Amino acid sequence: MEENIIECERVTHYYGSRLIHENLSFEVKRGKILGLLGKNGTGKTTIINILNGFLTPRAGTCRLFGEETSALSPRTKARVGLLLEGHVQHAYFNVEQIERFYRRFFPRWRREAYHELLEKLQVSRTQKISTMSRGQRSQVALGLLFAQDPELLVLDDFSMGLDPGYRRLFVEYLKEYAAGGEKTIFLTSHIIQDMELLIDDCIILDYGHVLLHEPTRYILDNFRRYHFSALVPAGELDGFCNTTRVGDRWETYSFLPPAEATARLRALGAVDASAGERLSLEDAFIGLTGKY
Amino acid sequence: MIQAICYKEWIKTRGAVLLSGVLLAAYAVYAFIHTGQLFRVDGAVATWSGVILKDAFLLPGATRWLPLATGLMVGLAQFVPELTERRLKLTLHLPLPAGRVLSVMLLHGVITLLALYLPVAIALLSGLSAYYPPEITGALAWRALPWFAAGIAAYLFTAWTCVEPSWQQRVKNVLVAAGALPACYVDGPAGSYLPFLPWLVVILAVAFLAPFQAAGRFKEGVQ
Repeated sequence: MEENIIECERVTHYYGSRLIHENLSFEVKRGKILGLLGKNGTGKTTIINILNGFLTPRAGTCRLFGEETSALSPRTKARVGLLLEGHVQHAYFNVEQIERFYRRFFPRWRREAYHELLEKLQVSRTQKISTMSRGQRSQVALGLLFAQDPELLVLDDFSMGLDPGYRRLFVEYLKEYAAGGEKTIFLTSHIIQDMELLIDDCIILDYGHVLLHEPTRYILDNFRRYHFSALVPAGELDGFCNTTRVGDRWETYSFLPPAEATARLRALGAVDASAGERLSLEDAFIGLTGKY
Repeated sequence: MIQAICYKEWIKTRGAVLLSGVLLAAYAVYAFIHTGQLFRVDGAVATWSGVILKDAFLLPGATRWLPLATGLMVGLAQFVPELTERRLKLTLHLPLPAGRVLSVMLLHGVITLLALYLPVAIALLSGLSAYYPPEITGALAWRALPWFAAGIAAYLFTAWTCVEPSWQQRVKNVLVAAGALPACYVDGPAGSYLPFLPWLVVILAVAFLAPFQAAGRFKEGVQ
């Protein structure tokens, strides 16, 4: 049986009286790359914080490698690589000092992985991290994670503030890292086109609940957009979501097979319904969560 | 691993430690000049009678505040970077028990301050022993002890306030520290402070344990 690296069971959390998650449950198997998608304020960082033991949910439990995240042992923490939002690192160190600091904590430390990534940067070994650009800092953070060689990577908004080149580099390194099938990655990002290149499974959060938890391939293959005209307001259509008016036409989204979807639309009075349009993950995300 | 944490703390605090060291050394030099000046200008008899009969204090006024200032400086240099961008998460994610990480950080700071204070105290006491008898230098040591303790307490209270995740609670922590530290500055004749010393130990012990409570709140995600 495939081993669950991450398990969350019926997690409920509030900030004050504001509900963030209600009975959120999911699991991530070994070797999978799971992307957590959601609009701002849907609780992505909250989940990351719970997973790393920096937040105790009101109810429910999360486990990493079978251990409750509120009391992770040092052995389990050594198996988890953590990237904080904004590529936060100990910025008072220079490039060499930070490697010297971290290498004492991890028995499988791969110094060459760190230096390989750092060689791509135009920085000296004595350059302080606080004086680096966001992109350079992201490479330092990534280099440290790869040198740690953790079994699980938890990345909070890894593409935040990075230019397309650094984002692409980050994604390529992550893909290579996960290629052996033994490494598990749990990540969030606002740049969904980066996620599409990377993730096996996708959880899409809405305010307070999970909208969807499916393999990325399933979403890309089955979720489609339809355009149509209608003489009367279309409103909520069964089997469709986020039906909205765009100019003088309507657009809607559905997981229904294209033939069934167009037949249903016609039966509901739609005129000139388009064939189902294949979507990128970003468009699918908009289709599921709405534009606003 | 403990060495690595000490290395990190040293990198953060070395500027503040060096500045504190320079200030304390300059203070010690000034204290000797001040004492020599007293003896040259007022004469030994007048200076001795001032100390013995009027309980005059032997050292410059900065003795009271310099340890406090250096304790604050080292505390801020060590813990503000942890507070900034919630970098403490990285520290607490290290593969060591969180309590041990924090203990090493705090002990590093306390030992650093002791390493700054002790040479100055020893230099002052041994230097002043050329001017005053042991009874007077001994009384001076007991009188200055709470001020040096205030430096360590200020450091620990700074750590407590920086580790605390909620701004509201941080303000309360500052108020508690502002209420506790004056206990180290009660004026009185030489020797009058001695009965209070056990309480000083209690204040220091509580100040040492307080950051662990704040770290617990940080880990629970209190905002």
